[in-house]
Amino acid sequence: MPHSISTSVRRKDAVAKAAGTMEYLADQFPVSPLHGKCYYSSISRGTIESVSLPELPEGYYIVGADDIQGVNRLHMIIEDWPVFADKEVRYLGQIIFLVVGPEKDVILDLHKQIQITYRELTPCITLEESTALLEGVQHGEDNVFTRYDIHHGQVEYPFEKAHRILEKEYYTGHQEHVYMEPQSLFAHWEEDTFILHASAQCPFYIRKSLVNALGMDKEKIRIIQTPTGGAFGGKEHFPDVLAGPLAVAVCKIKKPIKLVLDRKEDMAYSIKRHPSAIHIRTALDKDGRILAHDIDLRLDGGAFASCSAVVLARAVFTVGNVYNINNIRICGRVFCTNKPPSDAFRGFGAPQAIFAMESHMNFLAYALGIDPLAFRQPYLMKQGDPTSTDGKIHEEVMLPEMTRRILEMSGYEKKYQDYKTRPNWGIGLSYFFHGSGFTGNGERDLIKARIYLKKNRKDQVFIYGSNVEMGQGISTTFCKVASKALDIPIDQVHFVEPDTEIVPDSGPTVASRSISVVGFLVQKAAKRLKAEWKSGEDQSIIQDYEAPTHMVPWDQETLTGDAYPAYSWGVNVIEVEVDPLSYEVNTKGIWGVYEMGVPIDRQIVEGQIIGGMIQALGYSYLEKLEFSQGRFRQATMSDYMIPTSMDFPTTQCDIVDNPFEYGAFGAKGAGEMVFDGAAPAFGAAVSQAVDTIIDEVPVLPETLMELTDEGR
Amino acid sequence: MVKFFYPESLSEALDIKNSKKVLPLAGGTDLMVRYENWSSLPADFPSSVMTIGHLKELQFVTEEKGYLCIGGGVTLNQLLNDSRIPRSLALSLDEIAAPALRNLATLAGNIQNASPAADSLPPLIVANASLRLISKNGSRKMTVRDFVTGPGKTSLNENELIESVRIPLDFIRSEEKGHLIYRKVGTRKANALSKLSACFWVLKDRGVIKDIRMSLGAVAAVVVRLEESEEKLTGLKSGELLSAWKDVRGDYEKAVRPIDDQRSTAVYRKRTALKLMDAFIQEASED
Repeated sequence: MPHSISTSVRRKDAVAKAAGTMEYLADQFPVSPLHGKCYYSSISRGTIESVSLPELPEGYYIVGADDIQGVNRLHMIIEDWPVFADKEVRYLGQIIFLVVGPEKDVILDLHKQIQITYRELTPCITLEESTALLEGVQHGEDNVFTRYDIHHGQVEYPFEKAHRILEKEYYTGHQEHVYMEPQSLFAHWEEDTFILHASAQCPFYIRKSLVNALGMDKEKIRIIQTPTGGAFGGKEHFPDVLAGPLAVAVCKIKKPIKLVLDRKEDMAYSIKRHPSAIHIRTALDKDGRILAHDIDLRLDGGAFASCSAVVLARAVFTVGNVYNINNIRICGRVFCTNKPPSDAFRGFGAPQAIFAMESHMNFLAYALGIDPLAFRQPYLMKQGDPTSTDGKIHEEVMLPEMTRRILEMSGYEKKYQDYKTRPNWGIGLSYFFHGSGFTGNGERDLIKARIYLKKNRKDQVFIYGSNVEMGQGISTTFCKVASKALDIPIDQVHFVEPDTEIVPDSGPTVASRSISVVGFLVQKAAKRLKAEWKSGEDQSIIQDYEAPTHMVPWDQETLTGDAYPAYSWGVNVIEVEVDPLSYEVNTKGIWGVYEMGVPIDRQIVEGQIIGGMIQALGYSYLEKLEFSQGRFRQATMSDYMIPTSMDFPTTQCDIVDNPFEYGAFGAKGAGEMVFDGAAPAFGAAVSQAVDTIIDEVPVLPETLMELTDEGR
Repeated sequence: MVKFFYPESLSEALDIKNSKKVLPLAGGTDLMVRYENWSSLPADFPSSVMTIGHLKELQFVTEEKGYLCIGGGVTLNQLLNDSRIPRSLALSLDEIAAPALRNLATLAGNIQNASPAADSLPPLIVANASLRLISKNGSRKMTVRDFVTGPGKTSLNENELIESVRIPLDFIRSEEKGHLIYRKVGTRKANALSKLSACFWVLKDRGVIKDIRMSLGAVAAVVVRLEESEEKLTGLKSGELLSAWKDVRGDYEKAVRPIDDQRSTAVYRKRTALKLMDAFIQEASED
């Protein structure tokens, strides 16, 4: 029986967005403020030997490292990313100066006159070059930003007694976020406070990153959220990178400055999804049963660490996927290379890890001559099973029911048999899960989310927190949670746009945490307000995060315990036909069944599902992003191909309810999990269609031609 | 200093063209992208610009002296709504970008831009289409084939404009009696630039090849069409086609010389182009 909270309402932002009346930052502040244009490094690696700057007309400025009042470092996880490149340059596109002034054509002219002499070094482009410390080390002692090793059960012994050992390496590429609105900021100075308006996911992250750089008290730095046209992780940390130079410029000039990236600039120099190389060795007994996995997981972190450590953590804790394997060892590392830094992107390490493990399960089944669906069944996790970090699966795992449903919907079993003898057609299935919320002790020890609920004398209720509306519908779903808990109409509840001066820090809008973690605080606060409700009076509630008590405590030293309080689960099936002449892949069918606790608004969740799957299918075979001579070759929207509605006309999905005790009305995370399963299902389908194991995304027609057409 | 000219008439446009170095702009869907500037600044054109898309004298689709004549200012969507154009051309135009762009882009502009990947070129070259080029001093006719000389290069003189694109009516009449293949290989199903494109057409009469034409786009500096090789296949019976093709195929293998770029690889383009040809010849040899 579906829960009544799931019944769809009209989104609070629907009309303004559909009608085009919503004003994004580029539309705002039109009265000639100063404009800023970044001056980027034109080499990938080297040192700045000398700089020649043009003479500046009055009112124009070139701001750089010398103008920094605090330290030349942005604070993310570690402080390694400079505000402005000073001596060393680590990637083509690193910001060296900000050119500021009133007239754009003059700014461009000044921009052209800047001359920098570099001493160039050979850049590390591949993981191998980084491992070999080409031209010397760049980070720590081994170019490794972060290393996480986990060990569950035994590994040496199973490999010694194994009947057979099978191994393969899997690769995934870069991905560009292509949020609808490029990176945009506007900053000014008001009395003694620095004020920044930003299209961002994490206003408090920006504030944190600026404190040291500006050498200012955090209370004097105010970040105001503007309507945000999509983010997908691309506005988690990258706004910090632009806010740094902008803030330094505003502090120096003390006038308002607008910094909006052009789409081309944004695509060329902004952060991307981490490419991965994941090697899996598996020990099997004589009956083909898995005894142990030994996994080497490498991510390409690009030039600076940014939040790579956390992406790595999720990749490492997810790579075992939905299988209970008694013995597993994982070595995870992120390497420093001279490419634009890799950073957050929907799924956050999980899509790479799940692509590898699911493709590997297919490879094992293929090598053993066992049906891939049947091969997986004995290992599917159940309630009470241990995780690879020696935590525990607390919830009832609905995978058997979800499997039944997706097989019915897609006709997978019959098609799988038929396509064994039908060339160019294939169908593939993937299982996946995604931990809701921050990894490990993050929510309890680092985030410590807090929200306010305020009611005015007109009995209108306002929700104050730092989670942002970025297209995912949170301004509606938060209100829905509060109105349901208060038992008042949703029109009486309002979402307050985050502004660090007036909202408490409820944490960043990331990690599929907003509804499950923060939404739960909204629900708790609303329950309290309902109990104390006095009509016609001002009332306010402060609600702080309390860690669930059911968890196996997390130990960050040993990386053991419950990595996540709960998991969302999914199954995808993809059906394809491959054109035998051009090797173009035609997606014939897309099915998904999901368990994400309870969906808060069915329509919004379906929007997440369809959008997530389509974005992941783009990642699977369209979104080629090649790196050559310091740059991405697909530099424009006409060369970087995201899917259109013509590519995937329909998606069929279903949702299985399984309420989570510590989530808002039983909700778990939905935003990221919907991305995780499409690539491996697509790879499996293409594998069947061309009778070759796919071990890499994106799956390009060019690669398929090479794989299947060799020797011609 | 870059200037913008907005002539009131074609003769004024030709006068301007005769006396100044101006870039003709009709639709501008290629030029505005090529010379895009920082937002809110005017496009960064290398020379002065003259808009001509609005000129009434270039807005026509007429039948004249054995040709369907398409004015230089006619947009792709206007043509898509005109049932008189060849089906091969309609199929190619329908896959160029998205409707919004097709409302602005002109056929003459697609030709003048002279991209090796211009999608209208293979069908126009199969149709033996030509152009009427006009200047203050008169007009001249030239085949589309001869007009495009290399990537971004054409035979247009400094003082000339494309007055019209002219497609032989007898081709249009016989096109539907023949067997036509138009195939665009892009990255995705809509709004993609071509990795390669192919336009093949064969006309048979009682099992004998009367006319066979094959053109390939984006696989060389200009569209590949080999009339001499086509002649070797003309006059053959369907059943003889496959073995004759074995001899002719080498001509195409030599002529198809694609590049590696951000959209695809040379190897892929070449193999796919030849495979599409093989498949077409196979079809043509049947029935």
